[in-house]
Amino acid sequence: MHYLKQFTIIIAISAVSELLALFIPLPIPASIYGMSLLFLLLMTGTLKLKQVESAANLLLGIMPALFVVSGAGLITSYAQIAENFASWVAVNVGSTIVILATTGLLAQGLIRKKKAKEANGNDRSSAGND
Amino acid sequence: MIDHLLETTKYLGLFISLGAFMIGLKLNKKYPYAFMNPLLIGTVLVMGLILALDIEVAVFQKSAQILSDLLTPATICLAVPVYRQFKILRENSWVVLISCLAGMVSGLVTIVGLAFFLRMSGITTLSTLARSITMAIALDTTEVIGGVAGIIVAGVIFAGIFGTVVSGLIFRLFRIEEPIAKGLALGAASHAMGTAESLKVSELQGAMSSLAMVVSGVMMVGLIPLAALFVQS
Repeated sequence: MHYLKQFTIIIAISAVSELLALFIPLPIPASIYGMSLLFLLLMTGTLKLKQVESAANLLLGIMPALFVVSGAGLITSYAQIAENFASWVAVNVGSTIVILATTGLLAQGLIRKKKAKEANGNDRSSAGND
Repeated sequence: MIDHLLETTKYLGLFISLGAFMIGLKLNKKYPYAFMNPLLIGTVLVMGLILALDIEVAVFQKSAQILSDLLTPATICLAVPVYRQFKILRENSWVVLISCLAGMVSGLVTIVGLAFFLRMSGITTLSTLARSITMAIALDTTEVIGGVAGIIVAGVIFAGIFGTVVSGLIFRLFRIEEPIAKGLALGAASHAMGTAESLKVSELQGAMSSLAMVVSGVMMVGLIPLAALFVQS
C-alpha cells in the first residue's frame, strides 16, 4: 500500500501546482511550482522523506524515457525551420556548447577557489593541484 | 491503417516508445559512446518509424500520451534529490546563481550574435532564445515575445538531446571534473533531459542539475524579453 499512498501525495501536489499555474498569471509551469512545493513540504517537515521517496525514485528512474514522445515533435516543427535550417542548427549547436562550457568552467573555478581557501585555512600543503 | 490502430489501441504507441528507448539502452550498453545515448536513439527510431509508416505525429503522440503526462509529476520529484543534497547546495548557492546567470547571458549573446552573422530570420531567432530552458517556461516566454511555438519546441528538444550527448566531450575538452560544475552545466544547457542524465551519474550531480534548471528557467523569464530587443525583425 505504501506506493499507493506515495503516488497519491505526488499526484496531489501535481494537481495543486496545475491549479497554481492556471491562476497565477506568470509564465511559470506547474512542474516548477510543484517542485518548490514538495521541497517546502520536506523542509518544513510537513512531509517526511520516506512518505514520498519510493514513488519519487521510481518516477525519476523512468524520467529519461518520458521524453521520447515529445522528441517525435521535431518532425512537425521541421516545416517551420526548413527555410533557415542550416543556421538554426548552427545557432543551436553553438549556444549549447557555450552554455555548457561557461557554466561548467565558471562553477568549477568558483568551487576550486573556495576549496583552496578552506584548505589553506586547515592545511597549507593540500591546497590546489591544478 | 497504422494510424487507426494507434487510435483504437491503448498500449501500442506506449510500447513502441518504451521499446525504442530500451533498444537505445541496449545499444548504449554494447557500444558505450556518447552519441549512443538512449534518448537520442529512441527518438531517432520513433521518428524513423513515424516517417516510414507515414504516421500522423499528433496521433502517435496521443497514443503514448501517458509518458508526457508523467513528466510533470516526475519533474516535481526532482525536489527529492535537491532536498537530500540541500546542505551542499546551500554551501554553493552563490556558485549556482553566478554560473547559471553567466551561462544564460552567454547563451543568449551567442544566439543573437550567431543569428545575426548567419542572417537567420528575426522570427526564427525570437523563437530560439528560450531554447535552453525547460519546455513549459520556454513555450510561455516565447509566446510573450511573439515567437512561434513549433520552432521553440524543436529548439528545446534539440538542446536537451544534443547537450546531453555532447556534454562528455565538452567536459573532457575543458577539463570540467567537479560533479557540482557538471551538474550545473547540464541543467543550465539541457534542462530536464540533462538533469535526467545527471541523475544517472550521481545524486549530487542530479540535484545540482535540477537546481540549475529551475534557477536558469526563472532567470530567463526576465532575460528573454531583454534579449528580444536586440533581435532585428
